[in-house]
Amino acid sequence: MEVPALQVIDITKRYNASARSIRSSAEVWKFVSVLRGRRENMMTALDKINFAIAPGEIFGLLGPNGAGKTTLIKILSTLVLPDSGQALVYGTDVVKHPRTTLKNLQAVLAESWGFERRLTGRQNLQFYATLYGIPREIADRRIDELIDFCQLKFAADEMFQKYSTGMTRKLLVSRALLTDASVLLFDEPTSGLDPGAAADFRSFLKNTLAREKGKTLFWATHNLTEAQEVCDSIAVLNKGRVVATGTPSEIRSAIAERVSMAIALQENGTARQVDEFGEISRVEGVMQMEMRKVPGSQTMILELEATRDVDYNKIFELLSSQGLRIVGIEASQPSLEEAFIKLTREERS
Amino acid sequence: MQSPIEWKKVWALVKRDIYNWSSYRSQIITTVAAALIGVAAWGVNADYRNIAVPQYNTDYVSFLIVGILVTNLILPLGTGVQKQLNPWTLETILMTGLKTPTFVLGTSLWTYILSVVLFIPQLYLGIYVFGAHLVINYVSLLISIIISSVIIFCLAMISTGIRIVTKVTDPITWGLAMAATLLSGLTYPVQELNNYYPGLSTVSWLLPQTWIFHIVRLSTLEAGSIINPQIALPFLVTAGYALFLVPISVFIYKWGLRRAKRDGTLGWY
Repeated sequence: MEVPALQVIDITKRYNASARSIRSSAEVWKFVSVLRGRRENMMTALDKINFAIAPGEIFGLLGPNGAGKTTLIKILSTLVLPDSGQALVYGTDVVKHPRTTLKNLQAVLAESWGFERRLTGRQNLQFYATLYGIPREIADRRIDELIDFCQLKFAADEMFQKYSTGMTRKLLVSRALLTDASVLLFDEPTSGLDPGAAADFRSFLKNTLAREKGKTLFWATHNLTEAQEVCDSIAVLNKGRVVATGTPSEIRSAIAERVSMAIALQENGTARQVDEFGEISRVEGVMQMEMRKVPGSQTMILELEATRDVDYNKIFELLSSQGLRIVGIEASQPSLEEAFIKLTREERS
Repeated sequence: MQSPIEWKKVWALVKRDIYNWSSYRSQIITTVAAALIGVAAWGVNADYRNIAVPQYNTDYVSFLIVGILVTNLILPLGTGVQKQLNPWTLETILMTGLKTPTFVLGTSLWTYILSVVLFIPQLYLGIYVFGAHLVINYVSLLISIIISSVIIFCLAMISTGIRIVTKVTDPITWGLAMAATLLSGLTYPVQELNNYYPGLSTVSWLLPQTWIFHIVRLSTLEAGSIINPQIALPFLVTAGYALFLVPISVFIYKWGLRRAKRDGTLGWY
């Protein structure tokens, strides 16, 4: 059996809701309380999260703000310790073996650049390459490749402080790729980018990194269009709990309570009146029905709104018994956005 | 720090700090000027009220100049790591899997190198302008600098560990620094404290900084040799402080890091 690139088993994380830090020397009276750091007023950020990601997969973690996405990414990046549970990167426990983990996994956290403003993009990459322990000659070659690969050649020797948001993102990706880590985590990778740059960046991550280079991508976002366009599978996270997992279409269909369907029918010689189909409306599960004729043809369109468990066979039987031939069916499901809103609202209520 | 690669990492951190420091030209000028003006101001002051300091068989100018040099040479070590504690850099640097000693040494070394570089013109100024009379035992001086650096490095780690949790304030190190400013004898022999409050000098000898000033002065004002049992004793006490602080500082730094990771506040500032 193939070892998952990333596996999360029953991860739970609680934070002290009233956690505080000392903001100025004037608040020195808080010192003992901050150092004591009592675990009281605890708020659950992640509640028994489970999922596994196969090598080369693009996995989307979808959730509204405050759902726990960043906490999970930081646990996987060894920056936050879970209270319980286990996270494995190619079988290596991220808590027990953080250094080994970080050889296989790197995160692109949009808020944590860690770049020196007065160094050039290339110097920043050289600096991190040394910290990663990459020998100079290999690092230089790899940096050249990455600069080329991330289309940063024109700005590589500019000071980082002149970089735009899009260039910064690409430099972040270049840094994450320095170690040739096979699992890459992205936290809201396209936030702050204009639509064109976001589309380019998505295409770069999906087509170049995942499909060409075979990297496993973990993509935390609240952008549904992005998730639907890019991800092979998705977990919907809400209030620290995974409320749905599957491919985007599985999630859409899983939450669909009603199905909209249009059936194209052809009459068998005898012209029918629309009101002759009343029996269909009595089939269990059919909520709404409308039959209309396509002008100038022998085709009729039956538009149905039904529950998910409607008896399709019965409908088809009835149509057939009327001497009608089914020439086409088009079923529509709710969008991922509708699914997401429904899942997160259900949780809220 | 077992392998050369760890030293390369230390050097990368130092080089980054040099780039940053040297890219602000006005900063270079103001740092050098501030160091020289500081020594000059104290020197003029000491020259004005020059008296004998029998505790070290020297005069007040020499006594004070050595105190200032120690302050400028060793004490800035403590600020190096703290300056790096901004979350934007800390999180990404920790994600490289950098080892703790490499991180602390690398982030504080440039401050130290700068202190050493500035030490030379300061020494020149002290000797040739203010007539400081130094009688140096170089072996003792080297040993005293090593022991002192370890102590200050440990205090820096303790401060860093606490600051990772509290973010801004570290009253422990601050309190220790304030007590040292007042009691460690930068500008006077600590025995003088007893004239203000009997037995106050005993409190002063509890501070590691007092011992740092003492052993450096023994090495530079009296050419004290560590073979001499009377000189060796304060060296041993100071080394004892260093040995005591090493495990404590590593423990507190690791505790702070773990606590911040547990509380999810590593990225806070």
